[in-house]
Amino acid sequence: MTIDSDAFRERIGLLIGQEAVRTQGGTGAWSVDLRAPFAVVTPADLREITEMVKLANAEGLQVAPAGNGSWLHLGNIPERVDMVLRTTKLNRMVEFEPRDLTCTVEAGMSVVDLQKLVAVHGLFLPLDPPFGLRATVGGLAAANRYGPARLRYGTMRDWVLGATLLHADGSTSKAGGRVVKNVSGYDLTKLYIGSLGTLGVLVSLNLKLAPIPENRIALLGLAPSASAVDGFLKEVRRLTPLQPAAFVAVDAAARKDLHADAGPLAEPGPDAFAVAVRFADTAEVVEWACNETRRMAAAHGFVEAGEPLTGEKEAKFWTAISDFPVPWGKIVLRATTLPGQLLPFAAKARDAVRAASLEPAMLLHPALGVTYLRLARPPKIETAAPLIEAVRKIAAEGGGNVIVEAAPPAVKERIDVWGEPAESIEIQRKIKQLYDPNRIFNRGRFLGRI
Amino acid sequence: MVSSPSPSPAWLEELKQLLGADAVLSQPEDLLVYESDSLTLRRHAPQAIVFPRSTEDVQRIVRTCVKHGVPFLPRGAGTGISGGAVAVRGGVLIECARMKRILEIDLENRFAVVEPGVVNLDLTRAVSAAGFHYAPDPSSQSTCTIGGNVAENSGGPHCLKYGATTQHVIGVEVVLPTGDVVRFGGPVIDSPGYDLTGVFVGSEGTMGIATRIWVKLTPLPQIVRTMLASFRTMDASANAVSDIIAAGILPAAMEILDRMTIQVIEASVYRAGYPTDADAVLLVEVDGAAAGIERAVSSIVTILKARAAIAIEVARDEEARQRLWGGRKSAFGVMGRMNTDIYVLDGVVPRSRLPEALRRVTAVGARHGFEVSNVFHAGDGNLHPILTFDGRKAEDRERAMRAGEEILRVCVELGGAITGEHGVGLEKNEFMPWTFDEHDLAVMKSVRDIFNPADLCNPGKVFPTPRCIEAKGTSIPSTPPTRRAPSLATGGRQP
Repeated sequence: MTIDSDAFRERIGLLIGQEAVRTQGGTGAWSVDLRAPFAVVTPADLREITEMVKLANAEGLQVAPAGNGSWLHLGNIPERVDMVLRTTKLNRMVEFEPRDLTCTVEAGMSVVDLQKLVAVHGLFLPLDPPFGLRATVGGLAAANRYGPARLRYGTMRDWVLGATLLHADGSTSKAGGRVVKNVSGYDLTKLYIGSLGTLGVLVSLNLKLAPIPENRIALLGLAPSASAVDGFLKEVRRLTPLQPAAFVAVDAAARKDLHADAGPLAEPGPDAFAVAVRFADTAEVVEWACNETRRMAAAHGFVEAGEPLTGEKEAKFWTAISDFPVPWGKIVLRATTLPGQLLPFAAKARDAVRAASLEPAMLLHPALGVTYLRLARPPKIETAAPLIEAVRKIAAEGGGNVIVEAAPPAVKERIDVWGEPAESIEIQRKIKQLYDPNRIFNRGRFLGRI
Repeated sequence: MVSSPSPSPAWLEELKQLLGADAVLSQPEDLLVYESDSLTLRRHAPQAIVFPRSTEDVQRIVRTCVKHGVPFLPRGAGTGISGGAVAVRGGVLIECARMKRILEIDLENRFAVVEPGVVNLDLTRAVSAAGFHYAPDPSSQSTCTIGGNVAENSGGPHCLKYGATTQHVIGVEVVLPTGDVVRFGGPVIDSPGYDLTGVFVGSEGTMGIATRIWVKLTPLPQIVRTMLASFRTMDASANAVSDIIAAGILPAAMEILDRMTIQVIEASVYRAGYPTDADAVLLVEVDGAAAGIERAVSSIVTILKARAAIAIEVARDEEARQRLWGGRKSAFGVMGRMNTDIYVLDGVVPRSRLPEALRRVTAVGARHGFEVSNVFHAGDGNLHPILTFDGRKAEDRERAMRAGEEILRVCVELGGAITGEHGVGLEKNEFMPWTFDEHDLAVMKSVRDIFNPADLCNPGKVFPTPRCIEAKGTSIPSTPPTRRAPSLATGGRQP
């Protein structure tokens, strides 16, 4: 299918004004896996965004919904991208009830702006996804990405009370509600969270907020080995009242790759890990938890390395940890396993990578069962695909899975970033068909190349 | 040769052959027992009740029903209060009570796998010695099943802090309404693809029958402190709740009982020592690490005093704690003895609108001749207004339904919802258009149709029915029932 892009640009300009359209030349930065759009449009309001979707649906234009474009690297290579449709001008706080700990925001509001508005009342959206400093609330919901704070606060799934979705046919529908407890109707918000924009464009979200904890602290240390990390993890999880807000273990290669804000984290030796444990609670609980943690960590041979972090430094440190899976040109795998199988998995995965004469950089969230595995030097294309499959097989042995968080398009061409479709794929396809029968949204990017 | 005077339908014979005669009930007296759940206002008898023991049994039942075009629906313990387990179009009621095995407990990875008939509290009992619990705790937790909790996305007093069922279910094996078996999610986080577990939980038995459920296990808190404050006015107690939240404290539970409930409890054998001259009592529970608890308690006590609490009791030991909770836990049962029937509503309002909501609920009740009592999850604005009435009188039943409808209307007008934790079911399907427009409902219905294309699986629920007048006509039987399902006697009626 050939698209007369000039003619479409003109039509788009007539519909929403030329100034809302960024055209060729300026669109390269908005490519999705080298699929460059002929237009990047930033409609001013819901009416305009609806016009764009209707046009695309009527003319078969391929749309990549986006906020600030933080997660354009996720997913399989789309079949084509004609238009990147940005929500960033839908950025108002529609309603905010501090006493109810709820708010309604338009999807294009940035997470940072949201945090500023609600912090005045001692509240926050307690998530720390990668790119959290530039992501939009809608993008965060659609990509359902998370950072270390997932251990304590979960994901968007736990904080979205309701949502309004713009469908491919230009209609909008809402699901959920504005109150913190609500079971009226199906919980379709769950369907939209993590759907990577394949079902429609999220235009507004009702959110639950949390009180900002009184104290936050990061304890930093060095663990001599993977088995020490494993032993510590098991003990922390047995001593059930101890509930870290985050826990990461970083190997030597990953440590080198971290942003400068992670500077206070010590540099581990070849088989060791740098570790950081976070507590977020009242002053008394934090003090008690730190003491307990130090005691247990020492028993597992950990050494405290560096002063505990608090305040601004602590916040920036976790942002740096969260931003580890930055994609540019690299291959980043996100493996999930049962927490109890994470360290055996990580060891085998590392062996597999080394067997391919490569050095992995690994950042582990042991208590979540999440391993980020990054290949510092991109391997040859021919090596990459079998290596990913090998790691996938290791994860699958324990019921886990591997998602390719990022990879150069040449590698993506040879793999499915999501892995084998789940047994529920037929239902998933029918859901896509229901919401987006012409497949205008992110065609090919999601599971099963939906 | 045995010949039956009225030959039973072919599907019934087929079910008996598949499952054995002891797993199928179809005598009129059996059917009567299952004609309602704990919402006694709506009764419809199924044509048969079947008792599967395995996923394969459920699959065979569903396939037989599909082949013969017979409606079917799952049922747990029948403790639901929205009519979700009522066979509104007849057909086969699939009673999951015999599927009650805990299949796996993995403490290291903090999950369990259960069959749908496992009683909520039994799972907690199985893991509590190891320091864990299954966090969602509907008041009926000693009777209700986890399968039923999944269907309704049940809450409970402690979901204020710990979240409702959907935050604790990580995977389900489902017999789809087509008879296919499929699994969504599982113990490992982040299965790629759409979150079908999230959609299935709370789908009220209209998207299939969960035959295996993966749930999170949650560490027990190191310490729990419970306190009770009484107030001269309901407003003061509701404002105290908002103040506690505004102070950045997230209690495990915050429950309010009103004057009428207090007086009924104190006059009963469940006497809890609640002050009978108070207009409201507020039960607050905080839990977590021992280190922080004293300050949390004293901050709360300061707030309670600032809101002019008449008396504040902080439970000194577990016995005192159980006593404070005892009244709350017996409330629905005790209220149920006020008259032949009890109608427990389940509306939600934004927490900050509680005082206004309660005033209006009382006024609506009075207008219909009810003295409405209220026992509710104040922390999350989830009201449970209670109407008691003589269910033998058709006009009383009508009156209760009208008052209930108006009360829920008030909740919606204040920005809330028609159900917080018990589902829409048969009770409130006609009210769905209050919060969702035609298109919203059409989208939901289309999603349901993907799972349940023939609409044989729990038909007549959640969505407003176009034949609403006819449905209403049949929903109020002219003669009162003679028997109820056994589970009601022990733990029914409890939200």
